[in-house]
Amino acid sequence: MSRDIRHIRFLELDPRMKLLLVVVFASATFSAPNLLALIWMYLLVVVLYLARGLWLGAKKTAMLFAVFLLINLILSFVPQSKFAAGVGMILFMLERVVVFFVMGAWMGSKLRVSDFVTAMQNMHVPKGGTIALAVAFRYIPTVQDEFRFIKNTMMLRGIGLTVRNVLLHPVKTCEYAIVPLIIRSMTISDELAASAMTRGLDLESKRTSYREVRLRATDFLYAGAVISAVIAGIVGSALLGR
Amino acid sequence: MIQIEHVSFQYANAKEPALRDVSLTIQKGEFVVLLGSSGCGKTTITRLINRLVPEFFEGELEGRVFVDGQNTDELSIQDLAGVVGSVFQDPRSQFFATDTTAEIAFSCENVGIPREEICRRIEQAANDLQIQRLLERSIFELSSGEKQSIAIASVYALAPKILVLDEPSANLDAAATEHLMEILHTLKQQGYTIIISEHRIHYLKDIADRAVLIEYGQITRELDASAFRSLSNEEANRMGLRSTDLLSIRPPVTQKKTGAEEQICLENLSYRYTRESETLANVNLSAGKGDIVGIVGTNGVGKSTLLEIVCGLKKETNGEVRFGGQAVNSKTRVRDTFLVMQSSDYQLFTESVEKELFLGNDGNEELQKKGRMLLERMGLLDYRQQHPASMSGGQKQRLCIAVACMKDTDVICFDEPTSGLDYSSMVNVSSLLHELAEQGKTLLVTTHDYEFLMHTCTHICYLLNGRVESFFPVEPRYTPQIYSILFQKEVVL
Repeated sequence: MSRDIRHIRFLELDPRMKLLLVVVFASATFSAPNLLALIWMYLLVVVLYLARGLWLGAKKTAMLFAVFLLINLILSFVPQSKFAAGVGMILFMLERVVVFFVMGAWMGSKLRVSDFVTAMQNMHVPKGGTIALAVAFRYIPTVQDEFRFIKNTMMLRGIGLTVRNVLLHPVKTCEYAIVPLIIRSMTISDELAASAMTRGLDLESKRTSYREVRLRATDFLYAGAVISAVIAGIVGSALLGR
Repeated sequence: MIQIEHVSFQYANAKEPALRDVSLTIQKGEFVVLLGSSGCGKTTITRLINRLVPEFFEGELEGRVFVDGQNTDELSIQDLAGVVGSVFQDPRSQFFATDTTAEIAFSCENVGIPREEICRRIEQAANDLQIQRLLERSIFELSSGEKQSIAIASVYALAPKILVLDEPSANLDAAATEHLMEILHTLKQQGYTIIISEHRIHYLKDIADRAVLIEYGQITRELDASAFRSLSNEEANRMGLRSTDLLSIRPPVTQKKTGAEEQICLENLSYRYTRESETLANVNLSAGKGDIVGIVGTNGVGKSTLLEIVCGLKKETNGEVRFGGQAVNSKTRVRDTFLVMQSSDYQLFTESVEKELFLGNDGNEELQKKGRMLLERMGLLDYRQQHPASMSGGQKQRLCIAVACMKDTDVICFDEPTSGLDYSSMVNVSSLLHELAEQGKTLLVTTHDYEFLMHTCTHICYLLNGRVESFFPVEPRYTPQIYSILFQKEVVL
């Protein structure tokens, strides 16, 4: 029995600390004073991915960020106009919002749902909220799988998610992708809920955990270091940008 | 242990009652099989016992249910968690954790068993059910059979008195079903009261104490252990059940057209995932018009990948695919093939049956006429304005096949078309496939359903370790070979 699996992966943070980091990153990015700060945040996010050994995630995230920065760069060469300003505005929002989702995915990947539920219970978060969040995290990988099947059928039916279809019939194509996903999700969430109830997830009694979930000194140390880096980056870039 | 007294139940929104005046008493330690075709009400009975009916699936309930001496009216689903363990049909949608050990611990954690005790129980469950090798694995890497074992282990760890299983073999291959039988055997010996609803019963023949046949929401027949064991294939089929003695199934005798024109040919086809292990290496396969090729092999051997390559959804890393002698690239294959997937839910996009048929084509007069004929053939004509989501699983599947016919391609692939189907639905799918083949189409079908395969396929393509291990026609003389491939064991005659 490897009861203490958390020791194996040295940098595996407590779910609470992960949640804290998600919140810190999302809000810090929104208050990023300039591009320099944003780049710094992007860099930290990729480092966090690497620290947990999520290589594929790190690669995808880095590419996404690179695209944003590239568009930013191109935009700076476009002469001033209403259109450019509009695009710039949208980009400004997207660049910042994306960090929240990317960090959410960072937290969600390889998350042990039962640890998460226990950690939330220790924080005295109401059970209803915890369960909803747990199901959401649990559901992400399933949706990815389901969506692959839907995409396949769409291809074969001639309504695939191709550039041509998306440009010519954006609303229809979107509908075709989402309708089966929703119907499928309803079935699965129903079955999941039925199974969870027969296994006592809603019981009032205090939940136990087969693995120890408690905050360690290393949790504080690690999270503290990351948060300091975030603050230092924001402050530093604000001073530099002046 | 369980007493069901004059229970009638009608689901909210349903037009007809699911159960009519059902009474059933089950003794402690008894192993009872609930038999019947899809939609007969056997699942509803299992839900009475764990109280999902009427608490989760609402509706009108009459009569009384006692579990372990208590009237379930006074209990909630959660209260019964420690008494009744439930295992469901689809192992994909009953997991909460993302790793196996946490999943086994889940029920114990919920009822608040101390940590040391949970660890002990996990270890014991793994030992008793022979699944130590599955501990500390990611749920997403497991095969359906392995998932089902974990689902049972999770329930077992809580040590309930009663175990309720709803079609647990529906998504399992033959070898995994054998393992399920062994697990059930162990549980029975430990004195569990077991209730299992099934229409695939060959694996339960030797362990059931009693079987109850449910038809149209009523108990119509009870069989004791020996009557159940000696149930013949014909009798079982008449009740809507799958055959009991698989070895005695013979493929239908057909006049083989020799030298049918070649329609599809795969030459040295290889495919490599970037990092995972599932690969195909030098697959060679050729099939003529009217052939139905059954692609068999253990889980994760690349059966579905092969279909996806044939349909152009994945690009081969090496080799060639030829249609009618012409090499075709993946783009052309997307246009000239169709894939009917396992779950119909992914494949229906519009708000009515009729619209579904004309999606992706222009719906000209000729097609309109053809569509009408197809709906008639599939028994869907009366439903043409209905929303696909509101139809039964069988109807949805027939609609998917109708959609495939509308596209009218020469090559059509099917991924596990009969998982979870009862006898008459399976025969229905089988005859639809035969019709398509008679029109000169070539069908590639992945399956682990032995009975369906014997009814349907003209050839078998056995994949092992990413290669074609053998390819041969389905003929009576090959029966033992086919059996041993699907069940992964030698035939004892």
